Amino acid sequence: MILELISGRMKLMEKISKISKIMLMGILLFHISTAMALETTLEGSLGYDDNPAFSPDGDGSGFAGYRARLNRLLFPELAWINGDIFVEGNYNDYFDLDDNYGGTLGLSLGFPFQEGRFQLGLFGEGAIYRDDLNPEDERDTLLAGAGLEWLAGAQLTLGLRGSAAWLDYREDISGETPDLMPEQGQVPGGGPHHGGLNRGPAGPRGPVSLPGSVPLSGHTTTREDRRYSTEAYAAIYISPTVQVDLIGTHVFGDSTIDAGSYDENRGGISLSWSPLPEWNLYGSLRVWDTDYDGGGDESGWSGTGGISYWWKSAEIYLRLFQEENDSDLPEEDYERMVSQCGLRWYF
Amino acid sequence: MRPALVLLILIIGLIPIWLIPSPAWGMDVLIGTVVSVDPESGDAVVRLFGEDDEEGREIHVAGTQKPMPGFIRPGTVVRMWGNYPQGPASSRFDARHITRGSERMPGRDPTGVRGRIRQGGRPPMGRPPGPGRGPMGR
Repeated sequence: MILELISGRMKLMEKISKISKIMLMGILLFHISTAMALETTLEGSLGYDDNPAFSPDGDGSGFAGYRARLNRLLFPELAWINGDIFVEGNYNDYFDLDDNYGGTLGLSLGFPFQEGRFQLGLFGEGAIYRDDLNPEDERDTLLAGAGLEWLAGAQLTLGLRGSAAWLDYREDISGETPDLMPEQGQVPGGGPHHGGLNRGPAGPRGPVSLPGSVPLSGHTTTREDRRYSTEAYAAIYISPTVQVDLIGTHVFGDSTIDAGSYDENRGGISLSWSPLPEWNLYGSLRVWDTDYDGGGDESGWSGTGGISYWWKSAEIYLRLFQEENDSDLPEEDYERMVSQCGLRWYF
Repeated sequence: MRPALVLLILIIGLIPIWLIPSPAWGMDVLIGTVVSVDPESGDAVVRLFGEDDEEGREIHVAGTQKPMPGFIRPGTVVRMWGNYPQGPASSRFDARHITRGSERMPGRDPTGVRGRIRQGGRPPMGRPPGPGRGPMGR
């Protein structure tokens, strides 16, 4: 009883300390941003995620999310080139589970031609991700890509973009299944993989344990993934206040472990409507189909609905997100629902 | 089954958009490059893209929004909703809504912040999401 009380108090103190640090960081960012004339976004949110671990029977948890982004325009006075450099950090504080956080540094350049009717874009990003709940997901990522956009008409924009990402996972993984023998004689193992830079609704998983598999002991390997993404999109401007987006993506993932290599096709549609300047309603649907080299295909979908209200340079939002993944492997089946409300402040 | 349901909801969501009377219906929509901006009035000369009869044509754009949005400067591509007060043959166009031609390519507005501040909305679809697992979705 006393131990529980002490443990509860310690957790509370940890939370207070964490929130204090985040608030101090926000104040610091505000001063840096103001002094350097940067575009800044600060965001705080509260919500409930019923399956943060993306597992078949995962526990839910309330959460507080924090995000900050600093952005600087490049070459604002030049017509033939434009660009941005940004740094972004986010921290997801789960009340009943372990937290995760990440940071990204990115650069993008655009080269308009044909009087701006076309634009060639180049972009690069470096990111880190740390996860106390799923340490095997922790990784450092480098991404580079290019795109071409065509303003095809007054109400239509078409675009193509491609990117390549290199993901270096921090944890060595140990062998579990002879069914998932890695390339070049390495032995796979570890746990599920979730999320990632340049990743849409679905993506690669880590090595998994198949029913009846025999554990292999004493073998470890590092995991490095390469991810190549090709994307085509269309934006349809139905009216000044209504926009429909369509997107199709093919992703090829290659990994030092067979179970992490895959081909994936994704499709999506989204709708945005601003009936009044201060209000925005939006909804989106994404579907995916993934074929893993190690066996066990997946398909799934996610849907998002939300509403935002703008007050000067602040945005208050409410968002609902539902996601389902169906896999040949029962361990990879999951459903997830997130409800979230928050405040974004742009200055 | 459920994805189909979500798609149906999205399609149904379009219905009130058409049912609610909007001044946007009946407006002309144009796209072009800003050639020059009058520093006093804020009005702009825009060279149009588009159909053969519009291609390369220059019009004088007067915005109902004063001052005009800050991104309107020579070389910028803009979309405009509005009307020709003296008929389509005239070179004067009254723009009721002006937006930047594109918000989605790198270098334009990768965060979506400038677009959202100016006209509401959400981050451009297809932008690489942030790293890792999180409540913000994947």
